[in-house]
Amino acid sequence: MDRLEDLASSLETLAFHGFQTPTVGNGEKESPAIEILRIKEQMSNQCFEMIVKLQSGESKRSCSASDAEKDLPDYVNTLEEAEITHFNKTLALHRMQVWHVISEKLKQRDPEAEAMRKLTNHSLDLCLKIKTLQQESFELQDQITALQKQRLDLKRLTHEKMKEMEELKTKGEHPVAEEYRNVLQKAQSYLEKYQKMVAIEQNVLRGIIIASKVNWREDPKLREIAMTLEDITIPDD
Amino acid sequence: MGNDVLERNLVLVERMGLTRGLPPEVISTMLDYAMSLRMGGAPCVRVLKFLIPATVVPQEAIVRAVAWLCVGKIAISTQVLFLKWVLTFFDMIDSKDHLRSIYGFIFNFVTEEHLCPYICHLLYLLTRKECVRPFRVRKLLDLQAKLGRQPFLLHLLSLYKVFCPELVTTALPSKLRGGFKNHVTPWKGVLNAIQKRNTGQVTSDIRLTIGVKDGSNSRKRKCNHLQLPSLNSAVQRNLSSTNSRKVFPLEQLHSFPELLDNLHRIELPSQMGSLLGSSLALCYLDYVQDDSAFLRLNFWLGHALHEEFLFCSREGGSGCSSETLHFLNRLISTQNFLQEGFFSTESFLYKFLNVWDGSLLRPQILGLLSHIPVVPSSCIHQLLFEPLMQLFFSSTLFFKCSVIECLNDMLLKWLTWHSVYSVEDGLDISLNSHTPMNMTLSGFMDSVMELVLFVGRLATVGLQLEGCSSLLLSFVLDFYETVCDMFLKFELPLVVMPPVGVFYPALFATDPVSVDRLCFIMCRYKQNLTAAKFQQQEAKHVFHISSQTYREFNRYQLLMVSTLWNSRLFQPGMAVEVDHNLLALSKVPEPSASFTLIRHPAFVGYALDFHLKCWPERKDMDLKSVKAGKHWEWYLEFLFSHGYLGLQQFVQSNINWHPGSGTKSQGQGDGQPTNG
Repeated sequence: MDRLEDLASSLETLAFHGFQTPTVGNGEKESPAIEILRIKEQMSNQCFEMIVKLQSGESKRSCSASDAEKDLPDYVNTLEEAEITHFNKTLALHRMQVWHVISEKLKQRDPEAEAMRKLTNHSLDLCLKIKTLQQESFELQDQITALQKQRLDLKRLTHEKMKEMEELKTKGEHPVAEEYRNVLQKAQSYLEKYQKMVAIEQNVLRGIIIASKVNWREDPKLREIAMTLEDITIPDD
Repeated sequence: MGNDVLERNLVLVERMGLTRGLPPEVISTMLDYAMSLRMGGAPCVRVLKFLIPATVVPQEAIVRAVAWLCVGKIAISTQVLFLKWVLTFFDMIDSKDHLRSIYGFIFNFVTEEHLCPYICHLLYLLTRKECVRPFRVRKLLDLQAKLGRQPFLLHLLSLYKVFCPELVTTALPSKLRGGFKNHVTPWKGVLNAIQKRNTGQVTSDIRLTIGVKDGSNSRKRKCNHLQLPSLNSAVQRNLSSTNSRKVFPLEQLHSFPELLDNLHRIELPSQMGSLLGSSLALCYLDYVQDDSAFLRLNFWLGHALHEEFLFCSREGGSGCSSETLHFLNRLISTQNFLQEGFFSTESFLYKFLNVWDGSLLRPQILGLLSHIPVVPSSCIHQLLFEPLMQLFFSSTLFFKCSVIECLNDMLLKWLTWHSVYSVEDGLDISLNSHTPMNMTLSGFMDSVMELVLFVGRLATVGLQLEGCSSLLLSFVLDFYETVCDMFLKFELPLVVMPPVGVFYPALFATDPVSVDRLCFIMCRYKQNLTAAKFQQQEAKHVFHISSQTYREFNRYQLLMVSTLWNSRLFQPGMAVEVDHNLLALSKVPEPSASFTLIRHPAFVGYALDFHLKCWPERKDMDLKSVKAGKHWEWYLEFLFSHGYLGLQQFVQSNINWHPGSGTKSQGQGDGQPTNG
């Protein structure tokens, strides 16, 4: 009840002061309510200042998104470079310190150092093995690459030869002399004309059979005709 | 209607069909019976549903059925069902020449809107060069105008275009997605059961043998798109009709001399997927460079890969079946054999990388990835690098190593291809004829540069994430062993130095093997750069290695010598510069000498061993005594004798040190090791 009364009275004084913070003498201690009010005033002042600054700053620099995007890769690169440099330096320092301690330990003669020395020797033996295997695999890889190159070269040569063969084939189809060329051309044009006629006839016949909705498979003669309606080449028999 | 006799007999045949499949004569009779509508439409549908062949389907049966189609009394839905049946069992038809004879009759049905997709699919499977006629092309184009650019029309037109480009002049998209749909739905369940039982039967006829149908995995076998179809040795191949056309079917090839004899008259099988298993078939495909064959093969491959990995719904963790593994391994060995990748694999991989989780079939996917041909630098980031980066950062150590190995393979293949196919002094390189892209030398170099820089970035971040793991470092150094020799081994006038994030972890590595390899790589770089400079001055070639590359190299050289020999690691002016106050804080004596050949983490073991061997009685080990006089020489020999040829090469070629001389000159990159 007392505390409530205290609170009530302090609120009363505040209300009298119109919710403004009263000036406080130097030695006097502030009541918490007044402190809060003071902080509130400070914050509102700061907010006001920020708003003013923002509004004035808006007109200064209109930065478009595309401009920012253009600069972005550069900044990213700078960041990455800094990160990498930091990582490397840390790595160097870290390794330096750790291995200093390890090597100091290895120089000593206690059983722990013995164990460490054994481990070191074992790992160095393994390194020797790794080295020989790596050398082998490097040479093998070289051989494989050389072989693949050869195979690809062969493939290219094969293709070239096939192309040559094709050209020879088309050329070689007319081994006859110049004078027969005209005759051949005439014959060719006749053949084409008749082939066209045959094709048209075949189409017409096919159209008739289809339109008549007859089962062409049942009648043997019709079947024979129907099965040859696709051929336009002369069979060699 | 209540015809009991009919009902009883139908049930008998149905039972047999659904359990064991029907023999060819029964198929003939039943198909004819059904399609003639002797008892009405309903039995027809029923018969089609249980008409499962046990071995082959005689082609005459199909011809007869098509004749019945022409009569026009069958309902449209039944016609559709019949066509689906033909497409599902197309591979089991014993021979297709009669079907080709009635190509025109089948083509006639393409105008029927409901049948159009199925007819187009069937025609796609049957088409030969002779079948492409102008009036047919016209008809298809008219249909396209009416129905729009339907995929089934586009596929058929593009096949026509491959056979006769002069007849099909419209532009067609070069990358057709997906393919014809699978029509196996009405017979799915039955097929699984039957094939499980009949596994023995199929193998007896296989000649050029490949993947035996694995019957054990029935749960995953929804649609058999991953099975490499067997090269059907057609049972009745001795028909005279084939001989009259003087055509030698590919299935009957047994040896290479036979291939050479009949090179001009070989007929490809209808199922292109069956080629993947046989090396003779692949040889033939490679020599003849038949565009239509490649188109069909790519189409089938793309369809199979899409169906299995991208479009099929996953029921209980699919994808890892032995079938899939087998198929992918076959595909990889095919691509290795042909030394080129398939276009459909490439487009599939680009799509798949975006949805891959990084662990499903990792070796196979990465194996396929390494066969991708040179990607133009304009799209390489978006297609290849972005998805790889996303997968890389959150992956395991082994995945990181695998990716770097895969990219190393890819680079090797690109370089090999370049060294074989690039014309002397020519700026124009055309890629293999199946990709419609031409690439200039500078474009190629751009792509290689992008790849090397990308791997450099990956390696840098990877090493940071994994704490400079030796395993990852080893794979990264593998890659740079390839890169450092690009000029001398592959005649590509390009030198790219490793980034800082790779160089330092290698230099400060705790295992001597990595340091030795770094030395070897730097020696190779030196040889490549010297040769390039020499050629540039002598022959005045077009290429130009930028001075920045030389500067970078010199910086690295300097740093290595200063670190390993001259004890000047953290000094100002060196690249890794650390404030001396900070160094003092570390309480390490002579910090700038902490990575010399005696105190380097990789070599301190050897130094101590050497010291012990030299002065076994000394209680107090002082490594500085190794540096005195003759001992230094012996120590270096001792070190080199453990197989560190790279280190030996580096020391001998870069450090002007005379064994046995007492003078101690301090120079950049030469002179005795300083006492510091």
